[in-house]
Amino acid sequence: MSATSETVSKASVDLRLLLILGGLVLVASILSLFVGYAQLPFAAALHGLTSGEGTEGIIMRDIRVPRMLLGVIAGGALGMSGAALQGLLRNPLAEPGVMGIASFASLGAVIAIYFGLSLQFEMILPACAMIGAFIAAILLNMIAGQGNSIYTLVLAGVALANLAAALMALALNLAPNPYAVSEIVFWLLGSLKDRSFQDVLLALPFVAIGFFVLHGTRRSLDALALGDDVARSMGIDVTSLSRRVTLGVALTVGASVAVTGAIAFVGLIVPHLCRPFVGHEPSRLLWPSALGGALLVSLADLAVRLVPTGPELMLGVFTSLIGVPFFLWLIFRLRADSI
Amino acid sequence: MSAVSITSVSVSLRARPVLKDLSLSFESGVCTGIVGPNGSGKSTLMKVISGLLQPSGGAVQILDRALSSWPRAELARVVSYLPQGGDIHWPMKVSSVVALGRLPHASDKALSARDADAIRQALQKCDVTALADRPMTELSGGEKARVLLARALAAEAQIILADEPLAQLDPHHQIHAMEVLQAEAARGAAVIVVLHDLAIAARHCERICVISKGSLAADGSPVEALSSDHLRQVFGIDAYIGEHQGAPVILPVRRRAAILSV
Repeated sequence: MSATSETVSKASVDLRLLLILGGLVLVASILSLFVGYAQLPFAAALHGLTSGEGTEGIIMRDIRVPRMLLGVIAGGALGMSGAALQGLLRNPLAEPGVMGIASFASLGAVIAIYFGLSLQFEMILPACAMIGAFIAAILLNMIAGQGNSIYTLVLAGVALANLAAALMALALNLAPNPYAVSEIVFWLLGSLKDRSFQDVLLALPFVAIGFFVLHGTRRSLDALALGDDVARSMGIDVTSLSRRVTLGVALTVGASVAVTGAIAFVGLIVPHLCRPFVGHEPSRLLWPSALGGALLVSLADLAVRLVPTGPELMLGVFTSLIGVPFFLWLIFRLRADSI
Repeated sequence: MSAVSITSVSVSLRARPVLKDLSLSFESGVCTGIVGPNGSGKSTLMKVISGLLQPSGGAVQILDRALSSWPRAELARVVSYLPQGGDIHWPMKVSSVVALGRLPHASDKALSARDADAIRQALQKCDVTALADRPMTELSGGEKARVLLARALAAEAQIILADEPLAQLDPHHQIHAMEVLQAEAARGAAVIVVLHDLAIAARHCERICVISKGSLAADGSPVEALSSDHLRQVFGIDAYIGEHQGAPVILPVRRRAAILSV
């Protein structure tokens, strides 16, 4: 066995994984275009999509396409940021949703709405969400960055999430009108419902920049697996690495939460499932996690539309219902491993 | 020209002096053993040389150039550091872990043939080629330690710092690891290795530096540095000192009442 041929085979394994995941995302996206509340026959839906004429055109182009795109963007953002955060903190339980980063982003969005800032200038909303995510990521780093204890991190996350929830509850309490309350609840639960192309355009650039920033950290994340000291001795600037990951996570999570609300557990489940396929290497985990996240959110969004509940099940509620048992199972497994 | 030269280096951790006005230099092509009681400052010395710890006073020179003036990435190609009790946080494959040792050389692109060659040699030197495809989590403590040593060797650095690389190894692999480090010295590297086993240190190192309470207590050939006087003063032990096939044999036999200060 030669190491060069191994590098080549690693690259081809990764490419195959990305192609498979990409193909599945494509299938899920196409499916999601043809599932919805308006009963559209397939032919009418297709006609609406291609021509943009009439009611079908509006339903397809202004409702279903943005919803589909947002699922892919938000899922990708959550998946990759989960993988990067886990690499940085060397902890498989790190996740933007569970660790309070998404809650802080929601809080930022709620503050923007509450004070009417978002009415004055559209970009204020994602900006506030990203600032919220950034603050949470920095706090998390400060509390849990030093040690490697899994429980310190989880507790720090619980504290942050609770703080964000308390502040949002305060905002609910003091909300001037019932509409503000329903807006705020939306940000708490997370959904792709009734989004527009405006939202896609709002989130996409920031998520893309965030992807770019996180992509740049991948080799350093590998080195970090050997511990801070070894990484530093190999020429990695650990402080700068941690800043870049924090920035990347804040950009991707902040921008996607700003338009979809908090969708929890995607960043936890997806990297965990992808890890065995990339030899547990943090660098190779980033892009498969992004595609896996896009797939999971697209599928979950299909499910909430297909499950016959009265009012639509909120997407964030649905992912949490899957995510919590998974999270508990992961904790039990990690505890068994550490004994 | 010395590979490493430190002059009057002092380090204090939380206001406690750990290294006191220490001056030492290390030559290329020599395997030097650093010994000393627990807490004498051996690991701190390694961190100072690797640039991980900024001394509060004194100067460190790597290849006749001030340590602080080395760009981090360039320094990483020259100095390889293996910490005490290292581990890896993910169940990565052995070959991937060793490949990390090439990070200072590799750009963001895939590994070159040169890198691949260094990785293969490092795996071979540390006798872990057979484990190349196994995940780290499946290995025993000793196997893991050998893989991490291979990672440090893959860098092909001119200066190799190994902090207690033998702690987890069985006698066979202890001797093997020392032979590997000696071979690195033979190819021209300056090897500095922290050891607790005086017998191993005496047999496999050309030069021994005895550190006690942050200062240099003895420095020289194993027979000179590990004399019974030094062992008594620094470690508070009596030892049998003999010879086997021309090489010194040191066997600690008895603890004395207390460690006398130097």
